[in-house]
Amino acid sequence: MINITDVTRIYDGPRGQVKGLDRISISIEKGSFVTVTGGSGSGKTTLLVTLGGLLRPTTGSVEVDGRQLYSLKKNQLARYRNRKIGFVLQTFNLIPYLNALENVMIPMIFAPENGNGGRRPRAESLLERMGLGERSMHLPRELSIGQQQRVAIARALANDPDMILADEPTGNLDPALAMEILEILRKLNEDEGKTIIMVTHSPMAAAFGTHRLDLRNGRLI
Amino acid sequence: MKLNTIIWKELFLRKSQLVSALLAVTLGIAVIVGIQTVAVVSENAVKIKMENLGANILVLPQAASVDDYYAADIDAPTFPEEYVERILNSALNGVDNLSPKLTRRIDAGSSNVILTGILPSEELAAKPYWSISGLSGKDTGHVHTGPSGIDPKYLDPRLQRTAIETLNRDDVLVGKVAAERLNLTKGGTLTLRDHVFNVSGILPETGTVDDNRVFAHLHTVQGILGIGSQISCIEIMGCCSAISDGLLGNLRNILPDTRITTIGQIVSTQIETNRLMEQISLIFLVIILIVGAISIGNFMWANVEERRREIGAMIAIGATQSVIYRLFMTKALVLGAVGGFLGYIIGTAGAMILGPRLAGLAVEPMAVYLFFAVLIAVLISLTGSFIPTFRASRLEPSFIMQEV
Repeated sequence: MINITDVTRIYDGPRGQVKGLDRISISIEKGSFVTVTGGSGSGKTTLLVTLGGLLRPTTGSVEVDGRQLYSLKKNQLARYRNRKIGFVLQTFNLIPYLNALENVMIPMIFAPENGNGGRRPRAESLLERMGLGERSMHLPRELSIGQQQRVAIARALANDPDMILADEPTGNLDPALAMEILEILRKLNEDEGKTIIMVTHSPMAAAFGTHRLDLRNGRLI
Repeated sequence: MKLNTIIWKELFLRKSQLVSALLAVTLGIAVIVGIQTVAVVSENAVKIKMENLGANILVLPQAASVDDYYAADIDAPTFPEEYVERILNSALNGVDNLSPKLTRRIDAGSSNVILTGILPSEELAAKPYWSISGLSGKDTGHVHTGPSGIDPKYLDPRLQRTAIETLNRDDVLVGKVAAERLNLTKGGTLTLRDHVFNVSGILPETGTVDDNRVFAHLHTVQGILGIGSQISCIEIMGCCSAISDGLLGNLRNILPDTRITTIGQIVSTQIETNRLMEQISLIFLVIILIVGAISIGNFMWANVEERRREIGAMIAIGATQSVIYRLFMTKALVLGAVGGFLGYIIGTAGAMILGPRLAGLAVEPMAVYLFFAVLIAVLISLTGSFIPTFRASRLEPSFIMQEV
């Protein structure tokens, strides 16, 4: 269960202060598929990174499973993100000099308690699930955009997180590839019970969610 | 896969930047290693020259002059032989060799000879305090003059002198001129004040006062002259910068009732050159430390800038600050170690090639500098990388998102 209470996030911009989020309060049930929509600058990505423990709100609280997220220290927050959250981003953010398999293994390296031995088989299995078994040794630049996004999803699943935060995951993809990615996310939600929170511009993508949040000027509509 | 895989793969990604960063450290270390290697070899060369030229410090009785030392008059003042032990027991820096002598001009039948009592090096070395005092340092083998232990190949062979290691109580060594004057040959005998000596050797001509002298065991000479346990001088071979760094003053403190003097400024120019090289080396070291650290720091700063999205993504997916430090500081460690190693190789090779041509010195590699070269280069690299790494660890990962 995620509870956001009266969260405001203020940015200092060149023309003075800007409210990215303005007194937002929401609750998200575990296992939900929430889509966040809104125009450019509406605050949807700010909401996502605030939920993901990446951006401390100016005021208000973010509570996940009864724990105040921003009471954690920086390294505790990093461990929390590593174990509990998978990020899928519009620009994929794969490491360019590592192949697909190595990219998927990165979050596992940051969780040393799981040991070194199981990393490779798990990464191979995740890439197989994404239909990339034969592409595991390819560098990101040798993969198509759709394949890169599937590698990013495999990476997000590396430590079997409870929640996936997706920021415009289909923003760079053509409609067919976008559908493919959205289907993967839906399956993860329905079959594995992962909580999915997805920011999108696309009405088609937004329709995949079980819950929908619409933002304008940092406020929920 | 481990974290090191990421470090290793990224290291070779930007080869030109890597080479330019390495070059600054490598060349810097090479210059230091080169200068230091030549400086040490030059110091050793001075030492060998001093040994071959003979003693450069004289300890004489208070009332004596250097003229007395050469004239060897019958009534020239003396002082106790025990003074030798005082020097040996004092652990002074820079005393390489020493030789107590008692010299007197005495009758030898129809003419005079200058009889000089000496202690063969074997007897000095055999004393327990000699080996534990460390006075002779690494050169315990050549208590007197001689080239053992140090390759003298670049020395003028005419200047080389041979150590007198053993000398029986009844043996004498005769200088070339004295031997001709007294008509002595090896294996013959020489009677001095009723004491019959065996001539165990005729010394080769040196062109010095030694050519006119007869050398016998110090204690035998003391017995003949009836001045037991007295000597007329101690010749000391002090080495290198220690002479001007207080060796003379320290000797005066130990032996207050003596006259201590140096025999000319034999190799003072070379000592000054060595000092200059030491100072240049120090200046270079400081410059290299600064330039190397800036160069590596600049490379790392650019590296952090180029990898902002990558670092941000890593932090977002769970990299802690210590992981980011490991990513960059391990890279810096590798750069430093490789730069130090290459710098050592280039510096040593440069010294070996240029040493003989520029300074007339045969330069051998000094393995100990490999350790210091790598250590300094690693410290430079780590220092230069610290601020960029600190900055990387503080990156806010939220900027990797599409919009914020």
